[in-house]
Amino acid sequence: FLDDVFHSFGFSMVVGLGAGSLVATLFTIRRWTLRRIGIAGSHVGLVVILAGAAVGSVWGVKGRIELRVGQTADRFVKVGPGHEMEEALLGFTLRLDRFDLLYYEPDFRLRVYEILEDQEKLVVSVDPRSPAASDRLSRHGATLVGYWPDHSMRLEVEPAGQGQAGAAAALGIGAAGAPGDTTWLFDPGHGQVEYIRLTGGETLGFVWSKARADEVVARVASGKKGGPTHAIELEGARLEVEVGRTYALPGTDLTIRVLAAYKDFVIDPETKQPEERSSEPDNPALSVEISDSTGAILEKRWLFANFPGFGHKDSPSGPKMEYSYEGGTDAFSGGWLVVGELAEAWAIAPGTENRVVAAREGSTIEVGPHRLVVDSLLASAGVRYVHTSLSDKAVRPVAEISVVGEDQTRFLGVNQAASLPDGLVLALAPKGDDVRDYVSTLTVLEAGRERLVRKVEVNHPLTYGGFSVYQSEYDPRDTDFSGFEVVRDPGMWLVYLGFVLLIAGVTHVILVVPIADRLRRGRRASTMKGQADAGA
Amino acid sequence: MQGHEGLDIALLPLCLAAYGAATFAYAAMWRWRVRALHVVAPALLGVGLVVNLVQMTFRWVTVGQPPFKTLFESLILLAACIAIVYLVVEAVYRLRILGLPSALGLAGTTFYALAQVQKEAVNLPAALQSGWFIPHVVVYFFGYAALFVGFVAAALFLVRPAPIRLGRQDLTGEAHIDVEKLMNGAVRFGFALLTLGLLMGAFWAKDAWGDYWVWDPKETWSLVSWLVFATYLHLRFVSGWKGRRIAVVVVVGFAAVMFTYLGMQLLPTAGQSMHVYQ
Ligand code: HEM
Repeated sequence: FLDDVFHSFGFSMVVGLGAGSLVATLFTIRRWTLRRIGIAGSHVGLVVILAGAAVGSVWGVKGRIELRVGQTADRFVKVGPGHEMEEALLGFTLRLDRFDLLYYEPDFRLRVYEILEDQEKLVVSVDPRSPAASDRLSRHGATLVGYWPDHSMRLEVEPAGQGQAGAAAALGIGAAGAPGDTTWLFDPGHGQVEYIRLTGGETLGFVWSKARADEVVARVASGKKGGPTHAIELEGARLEVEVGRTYALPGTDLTIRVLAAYKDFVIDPETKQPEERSSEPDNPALSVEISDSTGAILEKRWLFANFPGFGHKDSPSGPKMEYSYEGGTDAFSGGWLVVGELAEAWAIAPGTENRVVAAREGSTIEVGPHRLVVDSLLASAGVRYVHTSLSDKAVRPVAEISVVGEDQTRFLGVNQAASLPDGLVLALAPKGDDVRDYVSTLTVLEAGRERLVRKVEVNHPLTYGGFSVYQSEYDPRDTDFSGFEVVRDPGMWLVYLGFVLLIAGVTHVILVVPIADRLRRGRRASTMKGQADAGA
Repeated sequence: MQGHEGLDIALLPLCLAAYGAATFAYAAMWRWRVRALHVVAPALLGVGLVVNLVQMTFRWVTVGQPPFKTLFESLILLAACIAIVYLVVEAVYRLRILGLPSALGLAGTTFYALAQVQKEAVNLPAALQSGWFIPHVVVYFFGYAALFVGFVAAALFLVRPAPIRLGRQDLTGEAHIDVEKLMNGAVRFGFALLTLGLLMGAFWAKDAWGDYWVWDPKETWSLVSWLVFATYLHLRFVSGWKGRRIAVVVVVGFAAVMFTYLGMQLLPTAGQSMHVYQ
């Protein structure tokens, strides 16, 4: 609305001014000089421009077309004088064959926001690669400790200090002839045996103490398959369960049947079916079915090891069960086992003769066709993650920040945020609208026949059948969508003619005439002295 | 990319120093009649200009796009334009009287650039990837530079309307320095460039969006500036205004230009504008 008022107000103001000045000048010109031709030219130019614009706004048409890839349009939507929408025909058909949304290489910023009632206000935005970044953040209560545009973590293992928390026995193992590429196996002293599986299926596991090694040998000999254990806890009782079997629930007359187990449960967004996202036990889940003593199914329920309370809300009357998942990897079931304490490697496999070889630091162990070297053998090792950037490109950016008053640093990935003092928030965010270009490939059809194929982008409109089609919109979330502005402007050439007249007139008056004057005056310098502004 | 500071920024203090030294050299002319200053002052300004151009070239090459997008980049461009226009004026009119205020303006512009340092270029949106980008901006900035010189002359004229004598003798050795004539020349030249820039902008807008004019605040204000200087021409040549009255019009026009250049961020609609500096 405001826009319109301004438009018409400004417009008529300019029209009046231009027309007035034209009339005024033409009337005042009585003697035509070089200079006056220029003045007239520029004023006529101005009026021609305004006339062209007027022609355009009276007889011109303007509207919009929205297309998705593959769609056609033979009409457009124009906004009438009262803001009502109406459709109008193009006189030909446009088909969007292809739409390309091109991006600049991504980059990221650390941004501090102030959280207000219903919006967030940007306080500062810094390039985490800039040397001044930490300084600029420090004014808001945070410092930048490190930034890795293409983040990756490398494990570094070193002998642990006395009583260091989290220390574990560690075996560093490498392939003979390939130094520097060490794989680490840890033995925290309880739970599972960590092992590696080589190409060809051979395995090599690691425990520190002989006692643990003996346990493993006994378990392997017994042939018991040591998969992960699923345990359901209920009113203090513990029930180890397996998929596909039915159990009586302790302390009740209910039975429970285990339908399925997932290590890393996720619902597939397309099929809406549960599935494994990875082979790591990141989100263990158990699907169970509870029945009463008659065998009637009372309910089905999902139990999540990481979210103990989940499901209770849905069935407040049902039994309160908790699920725990034990054992990250499938159990070691035979192969080579390095026993750290003895510096030996045992070949253990059900039904075969056990062999023992030395496994000191530097020893080579032959595992099937593989020749492995013991790089290090540590009774107690500390683990450190070293952050590195694999490249300079912002592929997987991570920033490490330190917030005042907190003794631990924090890591921020893309779109992650940390709270700062005074109600501020610090986030690692994409730098912004990094669209480099958007290009539509349009085909013009008339009576079903292809007439023209053109790439249309900003600054490169398509002109056909009296219309110009301008690329005007894209949607980053819908890359098949393209929006166009269609314009028919019969005043355009008049406006351009006016441009030329105006520019020619102004340059003529301002550059050509004074130079001509100067030359003439130079010739008559002695006689014309004192009339410096004669041209005026 | 990490750590190292490009020449575009590293040279900024040197540029400021050269313009600053030129300011002192031009100021010294007002006090002492030392002929050597007539060479030293423009030479220092010239050194500043060369450094300025090296900065721009370096940024252009390393960033791979015309460095006219951010406020920092535009200040560097503006400084180069002012230095060029001033040096041409000094050579053509053989006048050094505008040296002090011009060099001061250059030092100020560079100082502002130093305060606004932006290491990193902003990616050009699709609309700016056009052949019109460079001429449109460069023409406008030369226009601004010429109008700056005109403004400086007008200001000087308002302060000392009588023919100016400096020290015991005129700077130029001429008895009279017609500051008004100088002002008129600079303003007319600036107006021609403003017109050209305006029409190129409108032509570009038509090509990019299908509209010559969308009443974006910068467009509106550049029209206001243009109208003020058009009024100047009419008052000067139709109504025959002279002296202080006409100098005031120049000052008003230059204020409008400065608002067009720097004032857009202050407007509430700044967010939607194609023309607001980041
Ligand atoms: C209707 C016509 C237009 C007018 C009157 C106009 C006016 C101006 C003015 C006065 C400047 C001066 C330099 C400054 O102070 O920043 C400028 C700069 C600039 N114009 Fe235009 N302009 C127009 C159209 C356009 C269009 C259509 C575009 C781009 C699609 C554009 C892009 C720029 C750019 C990129 C700058 C450099 C400064 C910046 O990046 O903000 N202009 N324009």
